[in-house]
Amino acid sequence: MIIQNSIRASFCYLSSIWGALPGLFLFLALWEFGSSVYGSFILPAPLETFTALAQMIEQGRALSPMLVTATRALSGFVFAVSLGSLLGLLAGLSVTFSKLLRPVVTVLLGVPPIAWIVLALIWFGMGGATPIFTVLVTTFPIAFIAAVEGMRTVDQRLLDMANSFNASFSLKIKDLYFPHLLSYLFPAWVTALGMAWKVTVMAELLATSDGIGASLAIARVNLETDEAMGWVVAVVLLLLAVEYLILEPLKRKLEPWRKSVKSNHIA
Amino acid sequence: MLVFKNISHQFGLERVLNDINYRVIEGSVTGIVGPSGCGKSTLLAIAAGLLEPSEGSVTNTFQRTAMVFQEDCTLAWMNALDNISFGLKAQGMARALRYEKALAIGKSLQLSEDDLNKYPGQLSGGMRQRVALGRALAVIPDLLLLDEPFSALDVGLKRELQDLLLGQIQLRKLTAIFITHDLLEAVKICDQILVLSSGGEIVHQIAISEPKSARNEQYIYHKVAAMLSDAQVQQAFSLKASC
Repeated sequence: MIIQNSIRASFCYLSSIWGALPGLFLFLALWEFGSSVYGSFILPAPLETFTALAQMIEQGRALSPMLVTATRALSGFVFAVSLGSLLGLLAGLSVTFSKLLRPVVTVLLGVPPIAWIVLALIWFGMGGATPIFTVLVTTFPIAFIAAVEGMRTVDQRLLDMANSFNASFSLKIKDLYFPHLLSYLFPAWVTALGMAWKVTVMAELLATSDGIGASLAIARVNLETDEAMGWVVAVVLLLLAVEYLILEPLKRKLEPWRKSVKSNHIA
Repeated sequence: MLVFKNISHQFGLERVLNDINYRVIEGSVTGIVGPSGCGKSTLLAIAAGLLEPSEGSVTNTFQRTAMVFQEDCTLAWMNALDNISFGLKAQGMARALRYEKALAIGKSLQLSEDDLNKYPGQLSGGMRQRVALGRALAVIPDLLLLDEPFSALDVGLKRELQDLLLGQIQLRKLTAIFITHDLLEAVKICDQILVLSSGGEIVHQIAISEPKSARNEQYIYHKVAAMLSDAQVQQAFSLKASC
């Protein structure tokens, strides 16, 4: 039964990749077309880009900046998202608290990331603290707002049900609030993750001498467009790897009921 | 025993219950019928302790009260077995023991082991309502509160679940309060029937002494017709104009 299910699950997963392939190829075709129109100095072709990235990896120039950037993006992301989700959960329990914090969070969301980078540069100077701080301050509100929203939309009838059995507060958090909250948190986490990479690279470009952002700056100065594109591809690959190797499996593990409901409808 | 004493309740300016006095007889099934919005569900929520009445008091000396809700109120992220054992989990019962009990309850409600492994989203409405009933019965209540549990089901399924419920009530010698807007259902299941008017007052009260096994279709239709001939019942259901 279990083996059958997991085979079916991986089959579904593979078939979803098949569905995405035509879109991906269309994108590559357009990119190739653009390159043939504007020339490889303005827009290097996909093959040149991937070759440049492969070369950088071979020469040992690529992996260490990728690792540095990934560490910065992920440490900021994990910290901000756990803090934001937890505080949002608590704030969502009380109407007063969530009303109190809402405008603060809106202000945080409204400040453009580049402004945070400038401020962080003033406060922390050049170095790794600037990108991490910027990631923290830009992704925290995303998780926080999603958690508050999730808490405020818990079905009152389910709460009545739990109360009719005298369920303790901790049981309600574990079996009622949290599972409901997850459907709000996951999309927010994915958004925050994307934001974390973008902000890290941007901050690195201005504030650090290592990481993908710094390497991009060097490629720009040397007018090595293919290397610059290679770095862009590297960032995207890292983001996809984290999303599909960590977040997606996590979602499957935490929300098995969603998949079952879906497969049942198809059957 | 469960006693409602001078219960009145208001939501904002709207009065939904007006001076309800009633004593639930132990071992009996009390039906509360009335038009939509007459405050029957509010009365049940007060009985369950989920709501404080604006005026009056409820005395509940039953050991354990369990409630079955209108929409099944199962938790979508737990399989049927976990849903049935939710009340036991709330009591702090160990996992192995509560699964054992929930499995037995599920079986007695004709849910197969395969069904019990499914999530509510994979079950039909009737199955989900069985799970909800099982969740209430699992805590071994002596007072069962039912808030229109079968109102969303079709006629055949409704009858099947009514029979199942009656069987469980007799088997466990439960006291129950059954809320419905369906008089046929009330006559089939209840020993006492209260009719609430849209103003939230008890306007009519009857006892049905006929044994439940002897209540065939004919008897039920006959009894409902007799109830509806009462002027106050007609008024409560706003039938006057059409009659």
